[in-house]
Amino acid sequence: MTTALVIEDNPDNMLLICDILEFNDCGVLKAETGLQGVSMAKELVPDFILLDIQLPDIDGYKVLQRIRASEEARSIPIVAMTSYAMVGDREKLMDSGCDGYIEKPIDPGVVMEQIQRAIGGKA
Amino acid sequence: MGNLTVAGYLINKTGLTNIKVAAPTPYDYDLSIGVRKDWPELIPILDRALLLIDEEQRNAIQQRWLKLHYEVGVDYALVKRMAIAVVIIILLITGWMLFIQRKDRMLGAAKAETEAANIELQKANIKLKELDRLKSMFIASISHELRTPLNSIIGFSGIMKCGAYSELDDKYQDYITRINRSGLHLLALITDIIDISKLESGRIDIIVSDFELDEMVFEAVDSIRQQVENKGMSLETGVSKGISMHTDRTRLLQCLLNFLSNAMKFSEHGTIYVMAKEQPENILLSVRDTGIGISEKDCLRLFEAFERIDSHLSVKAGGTGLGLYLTKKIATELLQGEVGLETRLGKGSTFWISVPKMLAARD
Repeated sequence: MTTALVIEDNPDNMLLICDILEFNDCGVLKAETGLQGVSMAKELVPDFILLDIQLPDIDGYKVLQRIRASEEARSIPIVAMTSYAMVGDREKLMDSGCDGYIEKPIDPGVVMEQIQRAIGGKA
Repeated sequence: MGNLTVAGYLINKTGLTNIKVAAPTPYDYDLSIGVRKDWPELIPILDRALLLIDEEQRNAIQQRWLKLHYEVGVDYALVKRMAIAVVIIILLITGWMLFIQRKDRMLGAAKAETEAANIELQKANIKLKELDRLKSMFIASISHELRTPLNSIIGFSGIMKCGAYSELDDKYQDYITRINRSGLHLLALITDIIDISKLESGRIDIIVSDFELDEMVFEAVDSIRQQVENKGMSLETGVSKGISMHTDRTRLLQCLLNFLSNAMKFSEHGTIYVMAKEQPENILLSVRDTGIGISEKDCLRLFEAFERIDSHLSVKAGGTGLGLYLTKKIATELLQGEVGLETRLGKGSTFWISVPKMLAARD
């Protein structure tokens, strides 16, 4: 069974994502802050990561950076979730090391598709 | 005694009053005693005697023999002429200097003014940049704030609608579907409004790429095909292959989708035709429907914000009322093109957009 790490500060969004994942037979690890997310990624090495870009403590981009910089978590597929949806954002995220991109509000169908694609890409 | 004194003596003696010694001559005088050549031994003796003559006696001798006044005579005419010349020159120089000074002062003042204006401009510039940045942040955070609760509404109602965990009572299924639909409508409104505010404040990024027009048209048509066929209508396309475009694909697609969506919403039967015509510089994309058409008076307001036709179809259609407004703005302001419409009430409408194949670079 695949395990996902979800790094998301908003409880509603966390619930939504986790329910979708569990419905699709994914195990879920939850991190509510960026720092927590980074350490959990390094310690628990999930199969993929869903990262909210708008985090309260540190910038989502920094989280990306630190995960990519770490030995253990460097090659985990990461899918970013964001509601900015400004034209430059997608490119910026992909350039910063994301393997996929989900726009909020979330479309459940899109979630699984993006995840499959991201994992597929890295495999 | 030298020539001067001899001359003076002679002048006095002969009464030559028309001769005057008028200028200093290089002849100086000294007291000396002439001695015969053949008595050179007398020279030192006489010299010593001369030295014994004291100042007072010298003066007396001087007075007696040097009975001539000479003054430095002045050639008045020359002097006058020279004086005038000098005065004129001085006046000219002074005038010139005053002129230069004034010029300098004016230059200095102008420089100071320019400096001051420059500083003001710099300050204004900094302020503008700050305002610009704040505007960007405002739009971004508004977007984020509005979408966050929508995420919950659409997300949860979406899962419930699918009956993920248990079958819902029919009534509740209906309710949840309405909630979900309202949520999606709200999202569409917010997206359009954010788009418009971005356009209005000039912060839409245009992403130019090279693409084939037919591919883009097929993508648009495919996305709406299901809905069209559900209504019992059909779609036809007439786009030649090989029309290469160099412009913002996403935005052009957005405009085309808007036309297609309208065509579908405001028709109840028939066929929707999507055509592309290639011209030397532009392409002309048109969407023709056999729908209800638009009256002349409605035509004029159609591309304005929140304008919708009064029709029983409007309510069913949903939509934001901003689509055509946004399409027009995108077409004219971003894609350097035009939009337009031909219609007959009751017969149908053709919406068209014409844009350059090559988007000219902006500064």
